[in-house]
Amino acid sequence: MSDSRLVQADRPTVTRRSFLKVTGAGATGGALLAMLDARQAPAQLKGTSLRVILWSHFVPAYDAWIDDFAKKWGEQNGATVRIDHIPHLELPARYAAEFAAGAGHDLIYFAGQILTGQYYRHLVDLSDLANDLGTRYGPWMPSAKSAAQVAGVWYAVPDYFISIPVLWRKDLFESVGRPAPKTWDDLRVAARLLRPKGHPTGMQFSHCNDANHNWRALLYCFGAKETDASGQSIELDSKETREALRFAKALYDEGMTPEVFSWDDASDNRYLASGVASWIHDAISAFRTTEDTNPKVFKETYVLPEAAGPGGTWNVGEPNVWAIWKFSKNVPAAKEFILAVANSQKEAMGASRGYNMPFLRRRYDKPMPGLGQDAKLGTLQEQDKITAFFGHPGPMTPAAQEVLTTFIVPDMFTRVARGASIDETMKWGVGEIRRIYAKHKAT
Amino acid sequence: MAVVAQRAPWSRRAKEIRRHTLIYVGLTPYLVIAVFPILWMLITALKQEPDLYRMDVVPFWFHLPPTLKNFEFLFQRTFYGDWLVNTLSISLFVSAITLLTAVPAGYALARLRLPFAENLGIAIFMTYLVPSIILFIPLSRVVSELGLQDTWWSLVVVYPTFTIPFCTWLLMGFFKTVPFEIEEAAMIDGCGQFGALLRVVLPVSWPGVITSVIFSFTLSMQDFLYSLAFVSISEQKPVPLGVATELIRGDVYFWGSLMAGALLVGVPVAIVYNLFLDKFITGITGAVIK
Repeated sequence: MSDSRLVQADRPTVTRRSFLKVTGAGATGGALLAMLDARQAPAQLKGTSLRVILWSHFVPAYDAWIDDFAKKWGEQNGATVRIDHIPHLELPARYAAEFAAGAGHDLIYFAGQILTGQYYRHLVDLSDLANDLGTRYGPWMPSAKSAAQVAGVWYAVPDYFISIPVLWRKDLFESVGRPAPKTWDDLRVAARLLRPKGHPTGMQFSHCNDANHNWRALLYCFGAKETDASGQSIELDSKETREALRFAKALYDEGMTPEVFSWDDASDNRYLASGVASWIHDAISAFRTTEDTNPKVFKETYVLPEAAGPGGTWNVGEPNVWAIWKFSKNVPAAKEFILAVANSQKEAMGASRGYNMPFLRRRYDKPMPGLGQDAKLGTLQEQDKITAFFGHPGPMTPAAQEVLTTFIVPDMFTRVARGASIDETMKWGVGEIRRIYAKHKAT
Repeated sequence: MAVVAQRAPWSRRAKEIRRHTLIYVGLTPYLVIAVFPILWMLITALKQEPDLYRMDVVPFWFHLPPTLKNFEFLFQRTFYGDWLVNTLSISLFVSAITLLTAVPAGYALARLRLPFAENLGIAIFMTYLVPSIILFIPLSRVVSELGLQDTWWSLVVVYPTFTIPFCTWLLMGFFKTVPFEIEEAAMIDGCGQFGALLRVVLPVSWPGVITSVIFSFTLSMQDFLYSLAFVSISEQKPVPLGVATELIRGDVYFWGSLMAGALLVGVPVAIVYNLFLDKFITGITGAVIK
């Protein structure tokens, strides 16, 4: 148990031991804060090396920035830092190998697939860091904890999340007399009117990350819940889920073409950049791709943070968190590096062209780097207020993670779109989810 | 009679033409299917980025001037040169290790009349059927213990685990086809067991050896999972891992460079493969029917 957790503990009396621990923690925290202020790492980092693994960021400039940042940080602290980048979908296999070998990178990164709950017994307690960052720049968004905590202990430190807004074509909407969309119904009507004119919409009915985010956003906006707040009780079998499935079926029938059944994560980017799509639901990577490849379409593309539904407005983000293996050979340097990156969040967000959305509330002071100066992306500066993550409103437990990676939710939508009855689909989907949760309870 | 005599060759020629026409018409769909991916790779590799996103035009040709930018990106902004060298080195080492191991193993199992040799051969082949998704976790421990994590040498150690079983089984089939008499004749002429293997058995099993080399080489070139699990340093990656991990970023694919990277590796291999095609077919079929 870390010192900082002891500081937080609610103790009615002060014993000699607790006094020593509290003062010790205070001294450690004070030293840490002093070092942070001086932007200087402890002397014991000199001569050490730090190996970091990150995902290959969609903005190459961000990878260049963090690589350069790491190099400079290493030079300042007399340490050698090396960052390896691999695509986010390949990270879990790499972690499985490192875990089996008991060796690998000192500092790791969960991108999209949050494995904190799966590996927490083998991860370093980072509560001191997380609490410190929360004090400095926070508070943390409530959902940040579900990505990083297990039983109240921070085994990971949230870095940023990726927002998945609606990207829509103003010129096309105007051509059929539709105003700027605000709700899912607005989007459905526009798709219905624009498909016959050669401008359908599309959301992936397939096994890819975007399918998981997009259909969950629709679910949550219709008021459906995956679990209760504790993450223990499955709540998906509800009237709201059925309504969301019914809506998706209508959206597909009226506004999409069958190619969406074979789409991957990049398909909607191409759909927008090619000028075909009337709207898509995707990260701003699609917006940036269009900016680079089709300036004419880009000029007419606008951003809606999320469409509202009968159950509210919920955008499903893709979280990214830092973690440190217990077998890491350089835990102090790994912790210092997390702190250093967190302290440079504004530069990082600017380098990512507004892609990296912070988990810490005070980082939403306007104007946000990469977003605040942009007339279209400026609407994303309050994304913290509407963002949820998988498992909502419950935490990202290992069971919720398995439901995510087995694509049960997108499969439910796909079945209905292909013509299966909603009752049969609910029975199948909820049955699969119950089986997964039962398995995790048993272990 | 003269008319009949004149007509006969023409009729034969017509038949011949018709026969060839039918053969080529029948082969054309297969040819199109086989060549289309390569053509698509070539066109995509030479297209400008905006040209790739145009859906209002036929995508099989250029609508903006072709460019070499994707190749430049590959060589100037990635470690593609290193990946090529790594891939070639890994494949050569793995092929050598496989041959050095599978030839004696296949020979011993096929010709030394060992007890349970047949069953042992089947058991060795069965290990080839274990999927890498199961093996990479225990193998990661081996790689770590050897201190080879994050170097391409780890793959030189790991790949033979799937190339040796298959090649041993393949060579077993070949060695069985060699008549014992010629090996015995070599021994009467003064060869030992090893000399007979080198001077008599191996030369007549040449198609099998070539097949084993091609198989080891191409399997080493196309693996993804093991290299992903064991190598994360950019300059240590082989081509399949390098292009997939450095040219795909989130949901953004660098299509032009991806295709250029695949083309530069795929085409030379296809040419070499075709040079040995007859031997390869003899190798595969020869081993299978024994």
